[in-house]
Amino acid sequence: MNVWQICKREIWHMFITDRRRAIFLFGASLAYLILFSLLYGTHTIKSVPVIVYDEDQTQFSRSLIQSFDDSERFQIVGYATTQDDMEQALREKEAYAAVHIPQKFSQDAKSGRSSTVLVIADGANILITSTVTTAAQEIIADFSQKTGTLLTETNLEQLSPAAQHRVSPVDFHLRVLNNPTQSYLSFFVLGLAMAAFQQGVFLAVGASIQSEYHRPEELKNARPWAVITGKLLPYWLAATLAFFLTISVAIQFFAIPGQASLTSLFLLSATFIFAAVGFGSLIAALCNNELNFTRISIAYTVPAFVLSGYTWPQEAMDIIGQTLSYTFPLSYFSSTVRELMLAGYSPYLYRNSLILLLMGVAFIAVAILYYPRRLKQLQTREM
Amino acid sequence: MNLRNIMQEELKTLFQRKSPVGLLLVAIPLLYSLIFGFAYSRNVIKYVPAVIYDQDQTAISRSLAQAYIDSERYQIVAQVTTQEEMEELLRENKALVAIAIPPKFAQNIKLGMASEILLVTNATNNMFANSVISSSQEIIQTFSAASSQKLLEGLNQMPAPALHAAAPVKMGVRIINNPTTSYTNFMLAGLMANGLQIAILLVAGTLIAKEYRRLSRWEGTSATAIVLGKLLPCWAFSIMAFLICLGVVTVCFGVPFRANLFSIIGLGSAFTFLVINLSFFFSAITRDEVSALQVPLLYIMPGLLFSGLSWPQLAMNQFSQTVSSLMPLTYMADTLRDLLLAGYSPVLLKNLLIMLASGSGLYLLTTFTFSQRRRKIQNQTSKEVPA
Repeated sequence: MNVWQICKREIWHMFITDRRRAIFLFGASLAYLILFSLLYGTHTIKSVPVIVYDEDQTQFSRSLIQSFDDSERFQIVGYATTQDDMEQALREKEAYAAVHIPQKFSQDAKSGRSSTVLVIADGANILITSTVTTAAQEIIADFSQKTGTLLTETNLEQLSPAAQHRVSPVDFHLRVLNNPTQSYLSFFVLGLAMAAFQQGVFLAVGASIQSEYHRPEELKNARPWAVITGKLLPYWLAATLAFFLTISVAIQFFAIPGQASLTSLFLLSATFIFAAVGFGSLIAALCNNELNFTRISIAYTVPAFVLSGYTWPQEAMDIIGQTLSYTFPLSYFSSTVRELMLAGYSPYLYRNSLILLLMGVAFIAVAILYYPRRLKQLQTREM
Repeated sequence: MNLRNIMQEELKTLFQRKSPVGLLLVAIPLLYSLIFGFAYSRNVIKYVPAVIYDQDQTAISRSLAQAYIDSERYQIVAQVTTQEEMEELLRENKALVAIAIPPKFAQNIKLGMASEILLVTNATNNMFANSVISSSQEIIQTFSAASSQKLLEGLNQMPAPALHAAAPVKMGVRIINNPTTSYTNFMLAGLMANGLQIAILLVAGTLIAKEYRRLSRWEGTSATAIVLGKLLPCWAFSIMAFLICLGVVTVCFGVPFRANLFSIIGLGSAFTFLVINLSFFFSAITRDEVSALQVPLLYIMPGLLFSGLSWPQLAMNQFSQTVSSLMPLTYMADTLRDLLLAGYSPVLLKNLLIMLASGSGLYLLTTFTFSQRRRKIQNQTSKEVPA
């Protein structure tokens, strides 16, 4: 059989005899995309339950509470009357944050002695913690500034704008690039879909290589390079198609920004899929049965995603984490896809594409070398 | 065969010399704990690369730049003189945040006209942006309060009242349970539990499916006994794996251990019981061993992310909450973290009961499915024999 015939035979297998493979290729990334788009559909964390313990009970303290109430980040779930009540609510997880306004709050603030509001946040889930501290900082800074302005107006007989400028002489404007609302949907979902995509490619390619070990006579006369090339080419093409299908669904249905140019996406995805197909075929060639191959590829999913630098950045990993991260193809792909989609540009596009291409060549070369040896081994064992 | 024989048989296959699959039960969660423990060892994001574009070049603007240089959250990679250079660095990801100080910054402050600086951050990775926004708020507010104090002193105020007038309300922050907001404390135990769950799926997932090929061995043995005989060894080793990994997580990576040991063991046992029974159930309904492993594939990452470990339940919509309630890790990960960090979880008892009850339910379903399928296969073969 020549390469072309093997290709045709493979396509037949992929879509007709073993439809599982096509389902993995096209289904995995789409399923993850849909599932996680629904999960992160709320984009950011809002309405964190907060309990208020107001010891001051003045109009002034109530206006601070009103600011917390007005913020979409908080939802006041109760008012405690004792310290114990407040701590109890935190302990029982009825509230994830507490605002404690001390006695004489209003008096101290207005008489120029300054006063401190205590914000208590549960640190166990740091996504909630950072939402709470950032939003509380903003609210209290704003409240403090307004109070300071009023104080300066009355005490120093300044006009309102002048007083405001003196109380808060430096302000900052924040411009958040690429993902202005810090939406979790834009940040996270693509990477998860890509992790599943890699998994789909692995399982499909693995099933394909492993199936040859069970019926070696069909391709007896074909050369190893022709077998591997002929088998991998259809998967490479189908996976590229699946990638663009996933991306278009992400843009069309889930409003994930699609700033990337088609050529840049094509370059990156084509090289990644090449590397992933190669990696999958290598692992499959090394395993003695499909069961073990499936075990390895499933155990690999989570580390590959976590160490890819997609959420926890590579710069913040230690040397072991970094080294592992650099050996996984996904590390050169998922963050770059996100940059391309959100910013339309990635400085690492060409570097990563090149690395992926080289990885792919190396993986496939080793797979071609190893495949006939393994085949022979299994045949002698059967005899 | 009686229960004891089945268990002996199972132990033999789990730890046979040629492929000791049972070792995966310990190896995978242990590997996960180590890899992720090392990856998160720096705990918080520090040294975000930053560029300063100071158009003012006065003592005041330089003291603001100095505040950024002094903060461990930032590492100043360059001080540039044009907007293009600043944008170039941001574009090339050499800097993830830019601090632009406008011309006449000092002059405007001193004249009482106030001044604004521009903070540009790249939010492609939310982790950086969060760290930048909250620390910049702090730095600039402190700087602003100090400047304001000086201005008010200029209006004949004494330094202390001037500072109090500039910042009449301060915020104290107390973060309980995880005061340094350490990422290791936040994620590691949950990731370990996820590793354990994956290991169980990989090991226990094949155990029932493979029996359909060799039903003759089980003549006269009840389905209840077969499933129970497979369950008990797996369960014992899973609990052991859980405790070993928890030891690694707390001793090697410094995650606090504030709960009492019994509640932790209870939680671990209930969780492994549920996951093993779930794997058995998948195993009982699928076609062959490979599919038994592939069916739960869809569930691995969702199991982790829908569990409320990172994205909290309170931010989920109705649909996600429903999905979340179907994931075993939902009843484990958050509770385990609360137990370790706070020493107490309000939902411990509820979650224990849910896991034990649904585990037992799945056990019954598995035995039912197994005996039904066994009868069907046996009927088929007995029909084929006379023909």
